[in-house]
Amino acid sequence: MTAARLIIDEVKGYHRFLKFMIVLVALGALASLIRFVFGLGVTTNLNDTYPWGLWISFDVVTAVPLAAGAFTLGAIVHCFHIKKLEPLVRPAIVTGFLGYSLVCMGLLLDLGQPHKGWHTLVYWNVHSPMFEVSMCVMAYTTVLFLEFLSPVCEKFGYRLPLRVLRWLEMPLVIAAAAISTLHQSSLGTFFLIAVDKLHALWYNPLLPLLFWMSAIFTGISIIIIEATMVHRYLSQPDESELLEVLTRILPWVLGAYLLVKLYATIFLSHGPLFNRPWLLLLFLVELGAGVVMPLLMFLNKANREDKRMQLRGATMVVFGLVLNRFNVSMFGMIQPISRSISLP
Amino acid sequence: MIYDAQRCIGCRFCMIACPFGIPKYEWSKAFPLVRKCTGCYSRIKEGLEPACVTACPTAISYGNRDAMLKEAERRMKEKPERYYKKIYGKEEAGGTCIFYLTHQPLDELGFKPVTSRALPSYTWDALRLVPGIFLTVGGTLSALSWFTHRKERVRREEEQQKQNADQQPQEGDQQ
Repeated sequence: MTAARLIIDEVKGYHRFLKFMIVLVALGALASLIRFVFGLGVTTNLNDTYPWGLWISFDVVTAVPLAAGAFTLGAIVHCFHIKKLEPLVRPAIVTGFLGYSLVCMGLLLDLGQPHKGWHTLVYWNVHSPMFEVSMCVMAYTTVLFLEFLSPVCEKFGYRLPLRVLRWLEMPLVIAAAAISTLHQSSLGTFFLIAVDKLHALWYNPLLPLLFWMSAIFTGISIIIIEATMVHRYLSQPDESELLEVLTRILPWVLGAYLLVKLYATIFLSHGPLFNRPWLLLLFLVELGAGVVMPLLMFLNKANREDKRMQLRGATMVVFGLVLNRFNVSMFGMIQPISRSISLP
Repeated sequence: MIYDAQRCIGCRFCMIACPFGIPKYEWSKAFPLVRKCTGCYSRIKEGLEPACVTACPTAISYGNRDAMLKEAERRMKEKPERYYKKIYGKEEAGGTCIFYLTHQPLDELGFKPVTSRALPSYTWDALRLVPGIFLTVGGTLSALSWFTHRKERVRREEEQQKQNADQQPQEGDQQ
């Protein structure tokens, strides 16, 4: 009883936001319990026409690029050797690790046979994108965990593992970038098999490349948002000068993405582009608000240096990315004949 | 096509891939598997025909693919007024193991028009590049970091040499 009382007193002292989070986690735990008792049909409203729903669209296809800050910044700081951005690396790795933990949890709930998840390690099918994705998820989560261990070991003063981790730092950074490149792009490869299902506005053979490029600019944007928020609400030091360097990189990636996207949509896609007005609208919003507008914003030096504009532009990029991933994995996959769409 | 329930992890990617909506999922089970027609693999192994072929009085025939294709073409030739002019499955998804002959137009019956390329070839176009991309990205970044770190390394070595050079004459003086 006293233990319970202690916990209750402890929780009472928390901030309102944290309490809200605890309630959310409790609801999540309850929902996963229901999933393992009554099955996926009840909890997700999925069916044989729409076998993938919100859990895949959000937990996997969207959460993975949102966690891309870790590998992007690692490569920028350590490989391109822009040392002054180093203070941003650790928060990025924490975000990445949290993101990938979320992906793993989501997958364990979403797989029909989570206890057999390791089968992809044993029964190889190199012709399946799912094989590549699951190998990458496992490998990269391990890499992120090792990168995440450094600050933990520092905190507790474990010398020996720390020395090993220091020695491993560069190989881990490079492995992170290489594995992430494959992982981000392979999420696009998934949808290459949905030839007659995904709408021509998004289906084109360069989808994996587009997924990788958009992961890079999203990773950078997430770091901007995170650093700004942490400064604003958790009274951490102001990093807006460092963020200015990132906003200088962003237009290059956004511009390259826009070119490839337009080229692929115009020249490489098959089938009618303008036959579904709603999808066309979603496509225009995704590209206009998520790519073109932030690109124009960050071409301007005054905007790049303004704290509020940095946050605004980065938020637009992330919004565009989320919409893009939902367009590819959900809205674009809706079949015109049947009118049902899966919502959990 | 057969299905090994022992190996299945329940990811439902086969359902995303199949343009015909054939694999079905056990949505109401705690640990669901995929279910589909396996062409009665266990009966075939024993030299029997699939159960549907045995049970059906008129419509379903069974045999190897070439023979069935010939049979379909023969029927269409003999009674052209009876059949819609297409063998569904001959080219669909690179050619399927089941053919349909119909009287009504295919789209009225809900048969979707499907690509004539084998579906795995679409993803393989990207997947075959995987080892190359892995090595290129890893190699490029390794080389890049070697160069960018070299400057620092050289500077550090020079400093050390300078220090050594400074220290040695001092030591000499002391003696």
